[in-house]
Amino acid sequence: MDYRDPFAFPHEWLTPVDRSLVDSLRRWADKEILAKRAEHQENPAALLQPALRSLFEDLGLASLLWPEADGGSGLRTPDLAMTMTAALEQIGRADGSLAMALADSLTLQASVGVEPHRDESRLQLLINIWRQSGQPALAALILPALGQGEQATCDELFGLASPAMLRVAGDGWRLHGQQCRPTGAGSCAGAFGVTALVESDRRVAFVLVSASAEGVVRHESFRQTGLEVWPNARVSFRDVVVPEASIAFFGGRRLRELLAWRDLACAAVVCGGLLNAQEILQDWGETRVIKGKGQVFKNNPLTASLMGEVGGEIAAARTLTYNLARLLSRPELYGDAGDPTIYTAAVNTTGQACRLAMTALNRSMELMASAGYATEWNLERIWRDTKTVEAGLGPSTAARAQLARHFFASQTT
Amino acid sequence: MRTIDDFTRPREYLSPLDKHLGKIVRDWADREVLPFRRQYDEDWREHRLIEPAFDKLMAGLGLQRLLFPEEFGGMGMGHSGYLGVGAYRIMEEVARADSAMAVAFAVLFWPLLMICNEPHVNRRLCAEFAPRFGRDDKAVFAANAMTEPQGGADIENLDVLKGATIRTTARVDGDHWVINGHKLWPTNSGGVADLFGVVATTQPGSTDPRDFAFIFVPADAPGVTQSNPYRKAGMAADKNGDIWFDNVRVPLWYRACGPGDDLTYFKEVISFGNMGSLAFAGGVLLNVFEIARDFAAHTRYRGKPLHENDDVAAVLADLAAEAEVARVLGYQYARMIDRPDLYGARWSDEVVAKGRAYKYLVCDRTVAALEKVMNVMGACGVERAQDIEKHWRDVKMVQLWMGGKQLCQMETARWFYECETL
Repeated sequence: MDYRDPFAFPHEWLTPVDRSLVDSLRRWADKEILAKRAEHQENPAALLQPALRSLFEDLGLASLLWPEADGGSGLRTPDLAMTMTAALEQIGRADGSLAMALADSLTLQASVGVEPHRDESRLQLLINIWRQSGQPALAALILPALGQGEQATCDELFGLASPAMLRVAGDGWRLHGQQCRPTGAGSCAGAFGVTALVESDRRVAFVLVSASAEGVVRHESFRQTGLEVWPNARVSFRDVVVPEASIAFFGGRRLRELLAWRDLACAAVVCGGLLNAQEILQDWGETRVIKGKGQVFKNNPLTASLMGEVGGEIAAARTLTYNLARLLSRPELYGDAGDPTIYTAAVNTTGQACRLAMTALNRSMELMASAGYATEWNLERIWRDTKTVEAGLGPSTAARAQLARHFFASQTT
Repeated sequence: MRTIDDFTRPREYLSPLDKHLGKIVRDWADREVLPFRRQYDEDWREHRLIEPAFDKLMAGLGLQRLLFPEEFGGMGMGHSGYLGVGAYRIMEEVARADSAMAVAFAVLFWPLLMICNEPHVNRRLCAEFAPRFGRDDKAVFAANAMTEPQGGADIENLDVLKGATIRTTARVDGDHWVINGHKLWPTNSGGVADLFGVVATTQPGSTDPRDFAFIFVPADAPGVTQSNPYRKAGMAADKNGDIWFDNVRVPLWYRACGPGDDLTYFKEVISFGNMGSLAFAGGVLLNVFEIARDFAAHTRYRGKPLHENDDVAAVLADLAAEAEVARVLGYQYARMIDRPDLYGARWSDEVVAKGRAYKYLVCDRTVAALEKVMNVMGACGVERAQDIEKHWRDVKMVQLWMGGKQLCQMETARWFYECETL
């Protein structure tokens, strides 16, 4: 890698191709996003929407898993975890919305595209959905969530409600779900990945659905704290016909795998935001004086101490995240991502990374006072985006219950 | 069902008007703000929605006249003996709806404190400015112009710097002050305020308290220019911008209290700012309690209402505990402000330091409590429709205003540990 990373992290696990990708993405981020974002403060979408197309299509990041015949890179082994982490971190440094758009797209593809679940036909189905939409390969994931009424649940959904139900109809299936909340991009994604319970036997299923399928209704987009470039919107599935080939998988183990990959992607995005936050705080610390004595901000014992804490928190978040990437990339050593131990590691790592990130960002804002919350300095956007990523992991109580269940055989009710 | 009125209030020292003032402000909040506040973020520049709500609060209810003595058409709160607890109640109610509105409304009183409060009432200036605030159809704002580009919170760091870093100058020319300088970030700048209280020096670089000057400048005085408001993470109802003073001339008698006294009584502004911050955080906690209570009752986890889960209940309990503690500390500080005979002058180092301590403690804990509640709510926690995320963004800014956390810590340490070199 060309640039000097101030944080030690286990980069030995990155391949030469990964390192080259990191360098390219870092240069791209500097030139195409960071250098231009000041002039797009009023309307970041004008900068980021073309950038997404460039990232997804010109740089080929949305097609990392696609067969070479489809213009992709054919990365179908679990090594993808390391490549994805390194890439998402660099993109997250540029912008959280961009990075999460890629994160959800790659998560959906990985659910059917990565060994040992290398499923050519279902990956091709996704590719075709996106090609027919004529839009970048945006995906919206609909995952277990808190219930709003008497919605069905089961242990494989961690006590959360199933957003949708799947029932047998003739020789196929029908999907039904009202006001399902995607992880993001609900107003514009071409493909949905929907968690559902099979009505007859309460099995968990995960369904690939085209946004243009009959019975798919997008509702009005809603506002949220961050990650707003691709607006989110609830989606209803009104007896949507689901061919067998559109069911990505059945069973809780596969759902845990999907969630573990998404957890990793989220942690990488958060780490990217932290890298940019470190740069912003460094600039602030070197260019401000305090107490009217000409003392450079970063050299005051108290502010230096707090900046030290921020650096430590960023370093810890990155180390945890790359460690998780390693776990997912080596199933032969650690077990597959659906294994309870690995899944729990994913839940824990991402929760820890988000908490470390929020602590670091809160501290950074406190150090920068009004500049911390002024849009001009961009720190507040990273803070809002990170909180939004954290919220998208689901309710914290479900995560804590999972850790207790795994580490202490707790049977929470 | 428990309500926010089940949180403890120190009944033995509430203002006689507490119930009445609390009710009219809560009714205003429920009617004029709560139904519209989700649109405020997009209204940050124009205030098309926000301004009419301010008009009804400040002009319609007459609250912009609170501080002025009765002889000038005011409500005489400055000498009532209940200024602290009365203001705390009002600010808490406003902040429950929108803490940025509470900040903007409270800051109206900052410069006016310098001339309306006993024992330093300046009757000539009261007579001069009270008519501006007597309108019953239009909210009229004032602002303190303190922070400067080169020093950030240095202006508020009075114990150490004693005004030595102030670069805005006030020079006598005949029977006028001539003011030159550049200020950043004042609440109610960006074209909102009609009247500024300008912190200036009569002798640049001086640490002599007599050279610290607090001078009133009408916003429409020749030589005053303002920038457009800054864009921020939240607090849409509170506009901040740059103000430039270019050879601005005001009469000599526009100086608030005079040499030496300006600096002494300016510290009172800091005390009221800290008390206000406690009320803002307290009001936010009350509304988040309401939101979390309803959310947890109507949302289900493992087949039961969310609040019936022990882990969730613990988080909700922490929120309620923080709201109780915030209110106890807030009213305690308000009482200290009302009873200088018992606790010391409002501008004393002790009262200022204790206000800083309470402010940063409560704000830190409010931000942390909100983050935990948002985490329990999962993805819903960051949706604007739940209103908590707005409170979270806004109260983060309350935590950071008035010089940020480190300044609070240093002032606290200086008083409690008698530090000499911080």
